[in-house]
Amino acid sequence: MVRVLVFVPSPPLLLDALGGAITALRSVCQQAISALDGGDVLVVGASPTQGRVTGTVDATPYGAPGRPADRPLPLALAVGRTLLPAASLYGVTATSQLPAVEGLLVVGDGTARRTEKAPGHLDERAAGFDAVVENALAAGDPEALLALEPTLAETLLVGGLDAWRAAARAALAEVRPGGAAPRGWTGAVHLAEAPYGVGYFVATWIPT
Amino acid sequence: MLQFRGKLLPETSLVMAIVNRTPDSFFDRGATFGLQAALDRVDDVVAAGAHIVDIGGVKAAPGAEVSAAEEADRVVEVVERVRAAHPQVVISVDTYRASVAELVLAAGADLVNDAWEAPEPETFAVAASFEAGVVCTHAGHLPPRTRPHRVSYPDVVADVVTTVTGLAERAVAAGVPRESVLVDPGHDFGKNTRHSLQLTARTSDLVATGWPVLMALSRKDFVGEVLDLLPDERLEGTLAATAVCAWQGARVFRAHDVGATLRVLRMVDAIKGLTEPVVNVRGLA
Repeated sequence: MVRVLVFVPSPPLLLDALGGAITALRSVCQQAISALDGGDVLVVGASPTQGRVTGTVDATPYGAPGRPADRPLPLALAVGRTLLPAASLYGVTATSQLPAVEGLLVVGDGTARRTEKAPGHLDERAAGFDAVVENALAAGDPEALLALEPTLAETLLVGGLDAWRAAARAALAEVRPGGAAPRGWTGAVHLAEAPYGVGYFVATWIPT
Repeated sequence: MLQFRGKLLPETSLVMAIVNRTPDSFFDRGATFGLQAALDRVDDVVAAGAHIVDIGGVKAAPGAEVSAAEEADRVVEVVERVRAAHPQVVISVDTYRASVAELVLAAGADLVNDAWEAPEPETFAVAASFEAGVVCTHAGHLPPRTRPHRVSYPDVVADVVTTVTGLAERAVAAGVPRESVLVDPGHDFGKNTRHSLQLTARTSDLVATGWPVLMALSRKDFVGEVLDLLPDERLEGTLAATAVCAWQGARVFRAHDVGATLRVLRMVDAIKGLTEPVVNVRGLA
């Protein structure tokens, strides 16, 4: 059964070959990931197809030097592999169910329209959307993540929706009715920022 | 040989001067938004030696919506006045709209500089109907006035070559004179800084297609990020990139800083043996 969920964002800047600009974010991610200490851990991230994924972290499509990989990982899974090299990788789409594991590293971002300089320019709804995500992560509230509106998320260039929803389904399935543990999840948000106009969250959920 | 509606350009490196009739472009920030200020800017850059003036009415970055009618209001009169004042200068208009292209070509423009990968493909037929030229630009397959977000390419240079040569052939098929087509790799457009640097380093790959290459480098973010400098501090970085591209055979350079760019290009042309020194007496007297 799932014992710990850790949420991190997936900017290409977290890949080793492109790093340097956001070392503080990386260190907060690493600190949160230390909660996934051992056990059977799955990295969960958006992917063109659902299921276990193998491949190589490849930053050359983003302009890093080197030879392109034969089987480059999708971005979120490449970031997950970079942050937690030993874990297996699982690609998710809109309706994915996750296999039973002890820990999940959930890789995905919020909106990309938080400011005028944001990749998608300013959308006034972006801050509110990200606030709902932050509150859901802080409250350990999987139902709030499942209630996020996919069409609005797409408009706001939200990168993490599929991964968050897959994780929320897994977390909800663990909750035991009638008082047996876990009765729910206790959330802690370690970082909620949008330094480049993209919503980044680092959070941890443990059973209540 | 490059020519636009009968105006033949020299076989040297060339400068396309930026003239913004916009209140909000990233570098000049409205300095030439007023009609008279725009006309004065044209007089200045022509006097400085610009071969082409590129008049724009909509900034490239996201921002306030500018309708086609508003865009035409900004640029058509400038084109008419510049045509009258400078009969021989090549007038380019920076637009991705076919309707605006038609109006400015009717007003005397020679070249349509579409920086967004021909989102309105009828622009080619419009240009052809005036025997005018077009710029075919790679914009990362993004819609006009959007920013790149985590764009990736298996090989950005190959993507650019395929895209711009495809557009150029389509332009010629639509009737645009072959000697009036330029290709532009579109630095920063649908690209991160590393992509733009790769395109700069491999300019020769694009030159090798045979299409004359326009480079729009001036004070762009890829220069700013390399040096961590603001737009008004990016002249030297721009000129370094200009020299590197000119050395590899790019022909036209879209520039804010016309005099400085011309001096760099004259120097590169002399090194390449394309032009003679203006003065050559040292050690020879």
